[in-house]
Amino acid sequence: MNLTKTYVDGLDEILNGGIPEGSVVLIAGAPGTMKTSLSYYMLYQNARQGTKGLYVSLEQSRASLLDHAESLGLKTDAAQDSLSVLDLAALRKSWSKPQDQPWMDLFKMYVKGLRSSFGYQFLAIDSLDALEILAKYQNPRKEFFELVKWIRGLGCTTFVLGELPSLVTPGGRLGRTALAKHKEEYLVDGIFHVRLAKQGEFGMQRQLRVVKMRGVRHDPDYHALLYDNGFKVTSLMG
Amino acid sequence: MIEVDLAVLAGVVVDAWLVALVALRGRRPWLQATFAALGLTLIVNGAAFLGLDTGFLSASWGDAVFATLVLLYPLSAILVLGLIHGESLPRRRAAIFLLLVAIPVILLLVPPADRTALFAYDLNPLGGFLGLCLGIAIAECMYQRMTSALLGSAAEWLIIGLLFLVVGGPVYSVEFASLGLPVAEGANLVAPVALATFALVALRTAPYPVRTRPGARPWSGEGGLPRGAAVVFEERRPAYAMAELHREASEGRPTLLVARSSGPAQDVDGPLAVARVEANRHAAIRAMATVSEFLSRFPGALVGLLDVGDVALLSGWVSTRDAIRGLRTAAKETGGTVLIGTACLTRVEQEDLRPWKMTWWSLPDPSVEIEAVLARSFGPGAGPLLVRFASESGVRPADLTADHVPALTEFLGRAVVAPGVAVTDRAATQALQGQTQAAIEDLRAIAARSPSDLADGNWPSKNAAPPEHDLVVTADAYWTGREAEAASATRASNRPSFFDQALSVFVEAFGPAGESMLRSELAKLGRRPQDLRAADVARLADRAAVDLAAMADVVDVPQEKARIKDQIESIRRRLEAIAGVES
Repeated sequence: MNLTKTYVDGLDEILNGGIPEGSVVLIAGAPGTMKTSLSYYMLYQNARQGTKGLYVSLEQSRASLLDHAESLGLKTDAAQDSLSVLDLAALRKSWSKPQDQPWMDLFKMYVKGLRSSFGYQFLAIDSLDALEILAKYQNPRKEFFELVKWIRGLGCTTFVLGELPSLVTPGGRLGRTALAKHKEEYLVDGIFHVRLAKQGEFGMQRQLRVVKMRGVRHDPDYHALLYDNGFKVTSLMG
Repeated sequence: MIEVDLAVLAGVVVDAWLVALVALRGRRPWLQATFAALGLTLIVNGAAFLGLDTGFLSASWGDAVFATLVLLYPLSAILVLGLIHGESLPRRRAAIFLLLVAIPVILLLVPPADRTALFAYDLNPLGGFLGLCLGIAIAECMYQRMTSALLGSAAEWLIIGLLFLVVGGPVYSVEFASLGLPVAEGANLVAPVALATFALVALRTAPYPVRTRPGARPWSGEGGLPRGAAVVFEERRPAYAMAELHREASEGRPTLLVARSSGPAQDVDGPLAVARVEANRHAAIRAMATVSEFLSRFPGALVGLLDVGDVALLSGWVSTRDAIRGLRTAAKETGGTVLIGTACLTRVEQEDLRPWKMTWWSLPDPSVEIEAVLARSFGPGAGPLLVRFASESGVRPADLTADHVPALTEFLGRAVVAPGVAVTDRAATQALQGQTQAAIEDLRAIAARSPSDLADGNWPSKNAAPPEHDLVVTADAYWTGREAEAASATRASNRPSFFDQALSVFVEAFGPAGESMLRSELAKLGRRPQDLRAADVARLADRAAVDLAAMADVVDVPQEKARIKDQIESIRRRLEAIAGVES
């Protein structure tokens, strides 16, 4: 089995080498947990190594996303030819009646077209929730199943971003269904859960846990997720 | 100061390039002259400043720098108003030219020692004059921004340009002087940026190229249409409006037809001047500029904007409505006439225009009236007759107009009266000839009626009598039109509908998304799939050029972007081909 590196310091060790090629990985977390930054970072670092990636943004504009990346020190020029951003958010704004458009078909048309012409190996979809709203799912579970099947057919490693409510459940523990709204966790090959955990009286810390990764023996514990000239995942200090 | 000199030199080069660009690409003499005057003022200002600063020119050139600095603001105000009002500026805001009259007086009154930029921007009558110039321009732009959807975008660009003038002039000079930094005395370093925004607006609002008949001149004849007014021709297709344009043009009246390339004016020639509407979002403002400029050049002229629906499709209805309001005013001011066709407007858009109390003529379709006239004499046989005539003439029955009536009467003489001679029953022959003669007279009468006469609603189709079946059965034996009708019906039933043809184009380009996208576009056109006509397909083609263009912008991979653009262009061409073939 070929493993693809995330280039996140410490994460590849947790994953025992990386993510199996062609996996569909759900990155689930509340707002502010750096899901977008983390997924873009992994695509960016792979792009710098020559592995092409496509970032599909349904909410944030390309300019805003790249500004944000620059603010993290990710020079867009360094990966310009290998990392593409599909700005479907701009398309939503430019059409007068976006709610009437066949967004799921359009999404598939672009993603498939770019797979042929651009040949990306990494795909990030930001986010599943935005796609659900745009595509007006009638039967979300069935349609997610079809979507994941379709994505798997592309043969590339895919990150799918999913929003979770920012509130921690009573008792501080998250139930199994809390990682996805429509039980996507059963459909995907891997799950990264990112959360904000209280630290001390006033502090908060971002933490990452590899909940699931088919095909690899991974460390299932929570780890601290830090950003200092690049993402790092370190053990939690007692 | 070497950096300032280089910046001023670069500005002079940019100014010169912009002046040349607008001189070559613009089509409005007033505006081009004002733009050239402003550009040359900036060039002289920059060049004189450079000459003084580098020692090539004597100190007496300081007056030239000061004079051009003062001239810059009234000329900017005039240009900005010109960009908003076009060639009608001398009629609408003639008082603005008084600003130029004040300049020599002001220059004489300022003592030589005070002829500096800081003095000009100080709180004194000269500073007040310059502030007044900028204030007029900014106020007009703000007014247009707030009240006009048509000019809103242009007004925003003009405000940006004016703000650059303010920052590069008073703000820069006063702030730098108060900080004790060297001031580029009299030179406005960012004026080229302002000039560039003015050039952008000038080109975006430029009239379309017009092929004018040689020797056209202002017209003072009578004509059959109201002068100084906009007349709405409510027709299913612009048949009577086109006929009026041709008739007036043939009588020597300067006449302009503004139409999309895929529209009804495709094969127009002769005395009509033609302007082609290009498929982009600035269609409404450019169409209005084209009409205004034409009416200014030829007072009393006639202009036909026969398919406002095309313009509304490209620029949106709100902007188009503003443009129609502007055309009505232009017609009133110049004594001209503007014909507005509502063929492709939705019912809601038409109702939006009605309260304006324009002359509104609801007209029948000539082909329907011709068939109604024939039906009076020949009953249901009228249809087959028309099919046969149309087939001989190389047109579709639905495209017949009053212009075809002479040929049709001649055809009736051949097709009906001549076979009737062979009938042995003399009474039957005479009856048939009488019916034919009555039909010919009725046809000539309907063809002779003017649109204003037809607008009263007294049309043959409204007064159609029940057919005389017995006669029809007898007459059918002599006519062979039924075979033509049957053949035509077979062809029609074998041909895919417009919707199916358009659907195949969309699905081929966009896959499963194609059908939904096509239906969404149809909803914007206000058409149901079964109602789609050739004209609608032509409008869909325009839509593909404008609306779907955003689909390529969301991709940042050049080869994919190019592929999507090619796809959209291919859709446009194929839809135009479908519309063209069916027309």
